[in-house]
Amino acid sequence: MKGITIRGAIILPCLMMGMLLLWERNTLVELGLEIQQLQRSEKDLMQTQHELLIEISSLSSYQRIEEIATSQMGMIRPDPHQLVKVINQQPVDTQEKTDTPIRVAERTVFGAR
Amino acid sequence: MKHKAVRGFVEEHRQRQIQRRIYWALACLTAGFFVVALRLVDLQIFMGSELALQAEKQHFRVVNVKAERGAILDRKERILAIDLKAPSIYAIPSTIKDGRGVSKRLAPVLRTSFKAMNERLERTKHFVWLERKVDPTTAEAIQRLQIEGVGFIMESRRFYPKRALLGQILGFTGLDHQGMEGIEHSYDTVLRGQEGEIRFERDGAGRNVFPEGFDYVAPSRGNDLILTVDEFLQHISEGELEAALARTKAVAGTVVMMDPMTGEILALAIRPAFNPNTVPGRPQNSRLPSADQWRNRAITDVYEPGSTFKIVTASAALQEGVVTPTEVIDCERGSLIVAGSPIRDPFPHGLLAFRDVVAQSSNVGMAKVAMRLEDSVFYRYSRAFGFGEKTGIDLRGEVPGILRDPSQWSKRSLATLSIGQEVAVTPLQMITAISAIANGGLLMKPYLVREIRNPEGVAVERFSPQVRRRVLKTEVAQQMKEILEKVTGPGGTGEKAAIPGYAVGGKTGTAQKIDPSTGRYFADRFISSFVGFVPAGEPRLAILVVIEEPQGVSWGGSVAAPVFKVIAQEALNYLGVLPQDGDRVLVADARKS
Repeated sequence: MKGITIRGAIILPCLMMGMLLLWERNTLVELGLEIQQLQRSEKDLMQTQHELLIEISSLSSYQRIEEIATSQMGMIRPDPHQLVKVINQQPVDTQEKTDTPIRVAERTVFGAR
Repeated sequence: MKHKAVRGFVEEHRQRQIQRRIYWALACLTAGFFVVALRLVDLQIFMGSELALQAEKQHFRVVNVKAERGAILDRKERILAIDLKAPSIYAIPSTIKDGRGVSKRLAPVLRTSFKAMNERLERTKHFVWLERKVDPTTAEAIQRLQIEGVGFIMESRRFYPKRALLGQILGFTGLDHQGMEGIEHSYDTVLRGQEGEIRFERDGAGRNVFPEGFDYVAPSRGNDLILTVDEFLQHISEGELEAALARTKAVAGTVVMMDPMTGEILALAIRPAFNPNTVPGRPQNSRLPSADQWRNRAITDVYEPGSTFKIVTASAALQEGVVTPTEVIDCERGSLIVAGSPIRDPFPHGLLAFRDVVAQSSNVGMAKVAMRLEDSVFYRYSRAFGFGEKTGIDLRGEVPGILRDPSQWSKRSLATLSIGQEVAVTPLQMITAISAIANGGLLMKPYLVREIRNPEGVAVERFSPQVRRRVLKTEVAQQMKEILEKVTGPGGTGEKAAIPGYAVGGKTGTAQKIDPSTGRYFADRFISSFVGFVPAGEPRLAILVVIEEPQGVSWGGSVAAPVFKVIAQEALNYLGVLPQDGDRVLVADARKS
């Protein structure tokens, strides 16, 4: 009886340890698969982002926008006297010359003629 | 007894003979081993590394995969050139059982002949490209055929989303993704990145050991370029140039826009247009477009500047003190004989103040003032303004123009040079020269790239403005600016370049074209140009407009000056440069909102 108890006391923790290791191993494999799947998904998303970037870039071409504005929407370029600039009184960063003040007038008068 | 002795002697002789033969055999064997040992030493030690490389070459085959090229962006980081993924089709012929059958199926899809396809499959056992960078429809059609031994590898293909915009400046890439022209060529090493490779192992018979798979080393992407060019300014320059060419039925044209303070090229429009998308990704055997389409005329073509060159004459005369802006010059009613031949004005003038000589663009008045200078002095100023030498822009293919040494001048040369004849310049030289006046006398180095960024988006190199030299004293440059403002004033030849609300400085030019076959001027072919800067007080833009062979009226003031006006007006509006008269400006106090 004593022998059985001792053997049980040895085998049971070993069994539990073995199961723990198996569970850990299984979790690791599952996580590995999940990581792989996420990596693939990340790669696909990066590719989609790249494609969208190219699409945005093509669609935002000034030439295309002007073509649509003039031929499909009947817009025309405003005359200089139709433009009114609205400037912001806050100091503008002089480092970057091309940073423009608030320009709303073009939008207001575009196609108004 | 005697017989026994003889037998002993024979036996002894035989044994000696055998022994000798053994020695000989041993000697031969030793020598043989020695030779083999020497050869081994030679193979292993002296030729070892070379042979190891050869063996590796025989065992492995490497196919390079081009890296994704870096993108080219405008100054506001809008994409101008980027890589697309495009499928390339390959075959491993050793794994294809029925080569002829496969060729028959592939040929119509890849739009090639059966013979060509079959030859391609028979040429090698290991790896062969069937078609590079095909369109998605072709790739799908091939995929549907499901042929064993035919596969795809995604490669990069160059794409220019803005189509013909900035076409000649961006240039294009070749089938192997190498830069061929323009910025793509000049900055090829920066954009190219690190190549990857596909590695196959082969057995002794030359067959692939792992025909189903291979080692793949991914390529690493190249750096991005941020240009000085602004997409919007480029768009308006190209649009207005296109419209001007249509209006005047001219054959070609160039617009260059520069920040005169820094030398940054803001726009560079060239017509006829060139769409770089028509080059990459083409079928394998198609030809490259002709140089007429893609060459950057702003740096490779020269033209006789005509009266726009008077900015050099006037600057030299003022700085040398041989004339003052108010000095009155007799323009001889439009004709002056120099070395036996006349120099004429298209519209005769009498007495004009020097500043009006420039404003009215009198050839006679300008030649008379120029002749107060020594040949060498005039030449020195022409060189100082950058004529006869390359500007040093970061593009390949730039020419220095033509400015002969005074030792080769005739007695008439000083007078004719002063009005822009006997000299050939590039549009880029001319814009750089006017910028030197606009910015107070400094000749700047023009440049197109402001920054190089690595794939992680970190700047690895930034380019800043470079002064080549001081050409004029500040006060002389100021005098010149005031004189050039009169050109666009009432009665000036550049009146049509005037922009309400802004002071504009500039100079018109009308030059006859030279017939390259005879070396004489064409009677009816002209180059009309206008070069100017705005606002004249504190210039933000220098713009050159060159129109080649306009039909009908060909004066620079009538053909090129109006183009300058429209481009400058839109550019100033875009840049938020307010009119000096304060008209049509509302001030909003953002702090209250």
